[in-house]
Amino acid sequence: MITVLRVFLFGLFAIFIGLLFMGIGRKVIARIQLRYGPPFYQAFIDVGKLFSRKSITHNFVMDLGMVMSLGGLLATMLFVPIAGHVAIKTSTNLIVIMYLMAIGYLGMAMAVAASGNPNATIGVSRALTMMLGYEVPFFTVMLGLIIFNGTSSLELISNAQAGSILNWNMIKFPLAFIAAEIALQAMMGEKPFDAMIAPAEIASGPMVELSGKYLGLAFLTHAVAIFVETAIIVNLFMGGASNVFTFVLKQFEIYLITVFIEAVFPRFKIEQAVKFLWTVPMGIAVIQLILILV
Amino acid sequence: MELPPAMTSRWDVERFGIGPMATPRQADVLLVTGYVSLKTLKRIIRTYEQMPEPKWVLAFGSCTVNGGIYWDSYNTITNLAEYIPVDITVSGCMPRPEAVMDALQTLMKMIQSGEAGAYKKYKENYEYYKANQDRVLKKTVPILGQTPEMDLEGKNEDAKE
Repeated sequence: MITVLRVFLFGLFAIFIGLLFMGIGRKVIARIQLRYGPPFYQAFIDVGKLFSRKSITHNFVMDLGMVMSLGGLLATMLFVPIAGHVAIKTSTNLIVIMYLMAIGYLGMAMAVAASGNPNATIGVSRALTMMLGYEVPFFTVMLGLIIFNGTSSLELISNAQAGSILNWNMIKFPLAFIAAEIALQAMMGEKPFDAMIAPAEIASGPMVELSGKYLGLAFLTHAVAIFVETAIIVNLFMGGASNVFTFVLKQFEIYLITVFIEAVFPRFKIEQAVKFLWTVPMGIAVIQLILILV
Repeated sequence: MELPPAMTSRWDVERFGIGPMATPRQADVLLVTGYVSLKTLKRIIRTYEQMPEPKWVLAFGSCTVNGGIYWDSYNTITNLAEYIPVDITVSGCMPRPEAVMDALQTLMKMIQSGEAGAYKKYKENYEYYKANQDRVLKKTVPILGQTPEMDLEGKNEDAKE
């Protein structure tokens, strides 16, 4: 009973923080573009509105895919330690996390393929190609850290950086941090790696057929994705945190970097994006890996 | 023409929580900006019918209200409200971006007070709207050669097409 309650609490917390980050991110982008921007709670209003609307479904697979994509990310989130708290304790959670994170995208792919819209299919094929692009450098970075720490437990890696700020992997392995930061940009689907969404080109890609509740679920999925991805970076490079508040603050710093890059960059074409991800961050990650091994 | 400045930095309609959407599936409000030719009308009806309920229509500029300077043109319609239900109109030629924002906020107030529900009218009086649509869309049939039946009826095909 307590475990179920914990799982629920972790899920709600991730959704709440993710939506809050999304709202603040929109505000920050607006200020960079010299606009007032929406209020910071706009994301909550949007989700509330979307869930109250009538929605159009095409078939059962579409419903299943949307729920699967949210469920996959929520399952990932249960393995991520947040300031020492973790819903499900395992000793090798980093591998589980990377494995489960793909389920979110696969669920989305299933849902939009079932909707049968050509724009959506193009969008999701781009998203999966992009996944191929960013996972290679990100896994290389993680491999370096796993070899250095001799463990694939996210908790132990973050505990190993305790003490002063100089113990952080961010300071110790700056090259790995830069490579992971670029991969994170692609992971979140922010500019310059947002070829899968591209509203002007393929009419918001995977989301093109999603109306009402389905779009609301996609919003929640994105919110949880933001939470999980920033939490992994905070644990890997910024030494976790002693309490939840500090942890969320560190997550916010990471998210803010992403938003700043998003606000000023145009969009890569998909082949340019994969080429870039496989050369620049991959090269940096390999150099770091060699430095760790030597 | 008034919408890009309304959406971007100068007037910034996003501060009221209003933003452009790329597909009719995600949209709440359909803005019909400027004169409506018969070919455009066919697409407007199709877009409108693809939107999920609740949905609202904002007719923008004099042309959608009474034809504007195109009032005697052979291939534009003069009153949009005869073909799809319009919730709110913005008159002027052309209205300023402030007028768009004011109209959208008025529409928000109307929705809250329950005044704006023209999409229900469309379902109740579908025969009336359909008859009007068919009457004018007949004119879009080319003189030489037949068009497929689907175009003649101006029917809303499924998005799967």
